[in-house]
Amino acid sequence: MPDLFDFFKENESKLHERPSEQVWQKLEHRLEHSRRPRRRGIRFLQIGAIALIILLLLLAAVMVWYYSARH
Amino acid sequence: MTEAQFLQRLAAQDPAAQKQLYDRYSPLLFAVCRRYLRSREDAEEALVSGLYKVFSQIESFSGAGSFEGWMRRIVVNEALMMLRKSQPLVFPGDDAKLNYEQADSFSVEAELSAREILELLDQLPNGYRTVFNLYVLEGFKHQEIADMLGISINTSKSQLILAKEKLRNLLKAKGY
Repeated sequence: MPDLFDFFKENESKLHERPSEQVWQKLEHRLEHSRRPRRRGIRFLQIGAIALIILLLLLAAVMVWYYSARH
Repeated sequence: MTEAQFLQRLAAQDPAAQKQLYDRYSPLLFAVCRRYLRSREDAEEALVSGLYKVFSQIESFSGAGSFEGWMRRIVVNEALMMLRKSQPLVFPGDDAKLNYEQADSFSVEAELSAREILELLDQLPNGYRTVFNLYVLEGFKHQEIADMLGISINTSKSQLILAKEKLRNLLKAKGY
C-alpha cells in the first residue's frame, strides 16, 4: 500500500483538467499585444527609410537642376 | 519535429507553436495552479500569467533540466504570487512541539476521484497546503521551500508534518 505522500504523487495526474476557453483567449490577447509594438516599430522604420530615400532623391534632383541651370 | 526545433519556433514567437504547447501542457499546468489556489478563477489567472512568462522568457531556458520542469517552476511561482496577493500566507502550528524524526507511516489504499483529492487539499490551511504541494508534488527540498516562502526550515518541516496529520485525519474520517 502506498504511503500518504506516494498516494498523492500517484494520483496527481487525476487532477489534470483543461482550463476554460477564456484562458487561451486571454493569453492570445496578451501575446498579440506584446507583438504589436515590435511590428509598429518595424513599420515605422520601414516608412522612415522610404521617406529618407525619397528626400535624398529630391535633394539630388534639386542639386542637378540647380547646377545645370547655373552652367 | 525535435524538441530543439520546437523550442526554436517558440523562441521565434510562432503563434502555431504557442497554441500547440498550450494544448499539450495546459491541463497539467492548470492542475498545478488549482492545487495552490482554491478559486478556479485565480488558478486560471495564474495560468495565463505563468504561460505568458513561459512564452516571453523562452530564450532564458538554458536547456539544463526538462522543459516541462522549467515551465512548471514558473507556473508555481505565479500561483504563489497570486496566493500571497489574495491573502498573506500564514503558517499555523507550534513547531517546537513536533518531532521531525517521527515519520509515522500511514498507508492509503483508496480510490479517490479528482474532486475528492482537491477537496482534501482545499481543507488544508494555506500554509500546510503550500508546503505539502512544494515538497511532495513539486519535489522541492525544505531549504528551497524556506527560501521561496521566506520561512525557516523548521517551519517548512512542521507545516509538512501538520499537513500529513490533517490529511490522515480527513482520510480516516472518510473511512479510509
